[in-house]
Amino acid sequence: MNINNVVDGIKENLNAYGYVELPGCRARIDTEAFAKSIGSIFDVSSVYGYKNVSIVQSLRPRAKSVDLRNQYSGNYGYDDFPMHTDLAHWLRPPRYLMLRCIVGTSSVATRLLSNKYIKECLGEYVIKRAIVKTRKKGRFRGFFLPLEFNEGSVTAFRWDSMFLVPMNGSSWKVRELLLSEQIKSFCRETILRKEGDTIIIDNWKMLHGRSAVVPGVANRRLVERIYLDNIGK
Amino acid sequence: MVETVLPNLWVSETLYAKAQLYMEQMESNTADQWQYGLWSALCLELLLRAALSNISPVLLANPNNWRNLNHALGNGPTAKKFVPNSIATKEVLDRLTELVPGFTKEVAGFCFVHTNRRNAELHTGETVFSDLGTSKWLPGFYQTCKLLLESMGKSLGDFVKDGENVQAMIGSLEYAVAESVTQDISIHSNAWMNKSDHEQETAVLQATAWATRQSGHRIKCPSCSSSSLLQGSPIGTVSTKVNDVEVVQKQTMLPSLFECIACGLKISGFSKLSSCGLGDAFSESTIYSAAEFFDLYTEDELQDAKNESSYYEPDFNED
Repeated sequence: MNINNVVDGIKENLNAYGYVELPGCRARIDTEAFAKSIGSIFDVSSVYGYKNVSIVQSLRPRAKSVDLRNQYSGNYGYDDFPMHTDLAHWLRPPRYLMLRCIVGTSSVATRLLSNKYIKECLGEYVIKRAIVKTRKKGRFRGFFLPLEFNEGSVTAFRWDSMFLVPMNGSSWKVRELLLSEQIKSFCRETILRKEGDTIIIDNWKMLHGRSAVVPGVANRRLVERIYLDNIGK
Repeated sequence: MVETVLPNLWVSETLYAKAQLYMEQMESNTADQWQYGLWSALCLELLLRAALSNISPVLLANPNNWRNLNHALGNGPTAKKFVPNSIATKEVLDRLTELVPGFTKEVAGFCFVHTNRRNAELHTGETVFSDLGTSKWLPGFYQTCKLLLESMGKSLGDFVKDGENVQAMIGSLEYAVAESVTQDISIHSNAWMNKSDHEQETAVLQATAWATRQSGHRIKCPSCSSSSLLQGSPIGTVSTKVNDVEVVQKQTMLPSLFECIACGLKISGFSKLSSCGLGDAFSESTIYSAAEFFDLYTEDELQDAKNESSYYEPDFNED
C-alpha cells in the first residue's frame, strides 16, 4: 500500500466531508506510529497545564465520578456524550483527532455532525455572534471566546456544553440546538468494531459525540486517541 | 523550555469577543440612558486593543518588564506572583495611528476623548453620559468601530444589531463634514473675491514665499488658488535608498492639516480634507549624508583628529 496515496485519500475526504473512516487500517502498527505516518502529531503535554497528558490517550468507558469532573467520563459516565469539539476551550483546539480501535464493540457509535448543519439551522448571523466563556479552573482564569474563529483561510467552529459557558443569546441558541434530542437524527454514526478501525475527524469542522454504553456489554471497549496538527508532510 | 500557555488574555479573539458582549450590553439600553454611553466607551477600549493585538499581541505588552512580552508570546510565567501588565490606552492609540491605515490622528483624538469619558464616569461624581447627547459621539463611535473591525477583517454587520441604520449614521456624518468644509471654502472664496487686485497680488506673493520656506506638501488652495501647504502624519513603513554619497528615506504622509495664508483658509483633520479633494496621500523625503545616517566620522571630525596630532611634541631629554 502506497502511504502517499493513503494520505492523499485522507486529505481529500477530510476536505470534502470533515472526517474519514479507515476500517481495519494497518492494525498491527501502534497508534503513534500510524499517526506519524500520515501527518504531524500534536503533543498535548507541550501545553501549559497539560504536561501529564500522554501523546496517545486511552479511552475506556467509565462510570461517573466526582474525581473526574474535568473529564467527560466523570460527568456523563456510560450515558451519551453530547456533541462537542475536543479541547474547545483552548484558543486553538487541535486540528485533527484520530480515534483508533484497540478493543471494539458494535453497540457503541461515534456520532459526527458537520458545523455546516448548525449554520443552516441557526443562520450565519447567530453563529458569528455567539460568544462563550471558558470555565475558571483554580488559578486559570476564564476568558471569552467566539464559537466561530478563523485561521488563515479556514473558518472553524468550536462547541462544548461542559467546558464552555454561553454568554449571549446566540450562544444559548447553539447550546439549545446541540443538547436537543432531535440533533441525534442529523448525526452520522460510525462504529469502531474491530482492532485497527480508525476514524480521523477534522476537529475544526465537525463535532463528535458517543452513544451510551451498556455496562457489562461494552465497557471493555478501548479506543486510543491522538491529535494531529496536519495531514501529510 | 518554556511551555505554551493557554490563557493569553491579550489575544485579539478574546478581546473582540468581550467587545462584542459589551456592544450587546450597550444595545440592550436605549440611547438616552447613561448606561448606553458607558458601555460604548468600554466596548471601544476593548475594540482598540483587539485591533492592535490583531497585528500582534506583543504590541499590547508593557515594555517596562520583559515578562510582559513573554506572556504576550503565549509562554507560561517564569516568576511567582507575576501579573501581566499591558500598555495604557493612549499608547494603544499612538501605535494604531502608525500601524492601521485610516486610523488618523483625528480618529485617535475622538477615541481619546470618548475613553476619557469612561474615566470621568468611574472616577468622579460627574454626570458624564447622562447629559451627553448621542449626536456628539455616536456617529464617530460607529465610524471608529467600522474602521477597527475592517482592520481585523470583520464587518460592522457582524458586530452591531442594525448594520444598515448604523451605516446610514456613518454616511450622514461624512455628509455633514463635507457640507461644513464646502461652506468654509465658499466663505473664504467670497472673501478673496472681495479683495482688490493689489491686495490679492500681495497676498499671493507672500503665500508663495511662505510656502517655499516652510516644510510640507505644496498645493493650490481650493479657495483662492494661491500656493499653500498641506501637512501630514506619517503612515506605513519607511523606505530607504542608499546612494554613493547620500541616503534617502521616504515615507507616505496622510494629510492632516491644510493652510493658506493668502485667503486664510485652514482645514484640519483627514476626514475634512478628504471630503474636499485634499485627502490624497503624499510622500515626504529626508536626505542624509552617508556619515550622518551611518553615524560615521565626518570630514571635519577627521580633520580635527589630524590637527590634534600635529600638536604632539615628542619626548626629548634636554641636555
